[in-house]
Amino acid sequence: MNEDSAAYRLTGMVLPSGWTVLERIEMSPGKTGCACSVAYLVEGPDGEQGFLKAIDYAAALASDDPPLEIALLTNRYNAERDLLKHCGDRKLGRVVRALDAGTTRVPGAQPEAVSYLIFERADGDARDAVSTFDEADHAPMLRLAHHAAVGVSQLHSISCAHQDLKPSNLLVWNLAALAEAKLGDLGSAFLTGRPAPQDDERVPGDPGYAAPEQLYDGDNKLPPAHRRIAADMFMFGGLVCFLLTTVPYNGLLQMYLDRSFWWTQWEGTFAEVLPALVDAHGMAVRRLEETLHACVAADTAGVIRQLCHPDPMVRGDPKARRFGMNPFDLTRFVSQLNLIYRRASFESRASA
Amino acid sequence: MSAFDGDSPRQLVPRWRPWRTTARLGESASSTRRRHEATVFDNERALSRFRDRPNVGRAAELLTTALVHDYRNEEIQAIAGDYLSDRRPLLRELAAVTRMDPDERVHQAARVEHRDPRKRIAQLKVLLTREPSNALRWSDLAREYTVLAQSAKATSAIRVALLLAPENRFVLRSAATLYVQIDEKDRAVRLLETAPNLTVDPWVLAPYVAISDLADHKSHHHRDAVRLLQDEDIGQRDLAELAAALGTAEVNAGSGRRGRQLLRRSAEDPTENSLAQVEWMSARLRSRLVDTTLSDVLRDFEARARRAAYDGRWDVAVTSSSQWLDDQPFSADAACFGSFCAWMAKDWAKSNRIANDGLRSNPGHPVLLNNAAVALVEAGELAKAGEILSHSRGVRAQSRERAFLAATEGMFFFRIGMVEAGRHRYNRIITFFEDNHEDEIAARAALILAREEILANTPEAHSSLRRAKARMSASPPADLVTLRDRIASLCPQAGIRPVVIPKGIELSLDALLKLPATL
Repeated sequence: MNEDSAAYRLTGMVLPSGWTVLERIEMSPGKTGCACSVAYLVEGPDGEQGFLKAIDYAAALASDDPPLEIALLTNRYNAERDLLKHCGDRKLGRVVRALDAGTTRVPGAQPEAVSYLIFERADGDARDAVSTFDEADHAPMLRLAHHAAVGVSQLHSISCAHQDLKPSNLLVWNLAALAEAKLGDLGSAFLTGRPAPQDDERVPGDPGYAAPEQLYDGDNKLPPAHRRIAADMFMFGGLVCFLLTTVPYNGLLQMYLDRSFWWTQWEGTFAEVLPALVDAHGMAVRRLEETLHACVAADTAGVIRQLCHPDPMVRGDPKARRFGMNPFDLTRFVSQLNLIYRRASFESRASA
Repeated sequence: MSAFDGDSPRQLVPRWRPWRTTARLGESASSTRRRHEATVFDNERALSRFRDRPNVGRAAELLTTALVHDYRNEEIQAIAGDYLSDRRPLLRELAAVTRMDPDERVHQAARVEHRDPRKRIAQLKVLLTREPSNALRWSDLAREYTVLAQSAKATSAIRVALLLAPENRFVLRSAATLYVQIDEKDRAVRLLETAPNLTVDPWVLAPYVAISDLADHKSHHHRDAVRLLQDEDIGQRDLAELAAALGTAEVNAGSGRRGRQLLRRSAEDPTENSLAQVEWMSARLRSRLVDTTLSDVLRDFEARARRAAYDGRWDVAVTSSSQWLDDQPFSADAACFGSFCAWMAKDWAKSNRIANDGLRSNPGHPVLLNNAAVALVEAGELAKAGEILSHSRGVRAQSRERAFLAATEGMFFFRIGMVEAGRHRYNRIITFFEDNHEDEIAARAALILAREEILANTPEAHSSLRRAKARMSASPPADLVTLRDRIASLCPQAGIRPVVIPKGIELSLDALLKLPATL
């Protein structure tokens, strides 16, 4: 971290489009929240607050391989900017909006240029939501899960895979009452027809939330178009698990897996470890079901069982697969989560 | 005659435990070396996120990412400590796992859980209704059916497991053990021979070599076994069973020196099964191949039992063989050995109980029936013993096993006062074993005959004991030494035991008085 670089010296500046940079804030860890990005709170001319992600070219220049790092950084920035614009054009309501993008200069810094993206500013993310709401009342969390499902479904509808679905990337507004959520950080996303630097990476997003076939470097038998979507489904299931239990699914799965099968220890193939993962998955989901309120337990556990199945060839909607349809279509899960949310709300109101 | 340890040829037939136990013992971990490129966990960055705005959600995220990256440090463990009594159950459990010593789970596998197989079957059926693609639990179900001797159901369950996971080591080994248990060794060999990972996974090749040897099949993968044993990328523990299996096959084929070398190698970083093989071979060769007294291998019950029996420490042998049977409840070998050791320890009730436990999974097993009958005769429950011996006449048995049962009938005759019939039966059996060049068993029969003569206060008592002692070799095994010393100490009290023929015996006698045709 070079505090003298331009990306770290934006506080107090007014950007060309009128945004004022208020203060620097921490960014969530992970691949896209890497050491080459710096985050700020910004305020627009009309008082609207936003979140600015500045690209730190100096960090890339200071790396061991500056040409490569610069190329990666700029390509990633361009890909995210273009994708956000595409999402905005398609009016994807459950995906965070980019309010502005551009490049500014900080006199005296080397290099002076800083590229940035400005997003809607949320009140927090899923981590804050699970810390705020009463854990015994599943309704608010199921509402957020439904919103996330809509967001992922919207992205999939434009042939885009998010690839880094995790609690810090589910942005939440209105933490005090009826919360609203949108998907954020498309920095690892894959958009068909628009190549991005992370497209060839085995684990494009945060490994802490990645699908097993990515972590274990599995020979994926799915058609390429479905691989990323299948991984998205797993990560989305993990997010639902987090919202309802405070534990991300990979943590839960690992708890029921003997250490010799952990991806950090395993030296065999994915096919060899898969039966152990399937068994741990069964135990994890059974335990999860035990901890949820009876009115939603079975259905929610069923959703997570299907979304988080370690075998991508089994993951998703089994009925759709049986009838030769796309098992990775989230539409049914969107409806199901909505239904479960409404049932939980009713239960919550009835018991209040 | 006496209880019998079964002394059937031993090979490295895989142990069959429930999946969870097998996993914890590390017997399904990968043995190949194909490290994935692991990403580095930036612990400082992750911790600073949490410190920046600590809350439950961020703590859960921190603990999960640390766990997923297999990363441990004191600060993260301290944070986990704060959530050990959180209201959220899964977060509590996550915190506990984060703080758990990684070896703790392995040590949990040292304990053998006693579970009613019927209850387990009911639980597994419920589980498999929800998770029909869980191959490992189908294998567990097959094991429970095997414990209850329901081999058709066991076979059909293992077939499902094999369809779901034809390459899985645990499933392949479980299936091989099942087929050996139901005496379909050829089927086990065929299964392993066609396994895609046979030539690359020593845990699959070991049972192939072992069962081929047991079934008198020529192993077609001797070179592969030698190649794997020379592969420095494979850990010694992963090779232990293969080395022991190949070593035993070499000894059986007459290459004693090479075989002993391999068996010694298998004991360098052994599994409990390979350790037991070394103990068994030591007893067979009457020579300690390695000093295994300080073994810290989990569940080394059989090895301990065999070692204790070799040394004549019968109480220890009984305890260890009971644990061995708890661990492998379908194993006739464990039940034979345990009931024999309990008989040697003069614990008739335990000997009978172990034999009956074994009979649950192996109904009609002639050696177990023999051992149960012996225990009952010793305990004075002659009517029950007579029933078992009569029943045993109808079970399928090899002539050697039939000879043991016939000798036990001789003991039974002595105890009901039919001394002449008993003596005649024993003499016939002693001749049978002499003719078969099994001098130690003939000596054991002679010792038991002497004991019965002494107990019946017959004029033959002293001469019988003298003849029995003369049959013993210069360095007899521990069981013969124990028997000889016990019988010697009986002499002063000879004849104190009155002969009482209990009621109800007559029913058994007709069937037993005629010598079996094979003898």
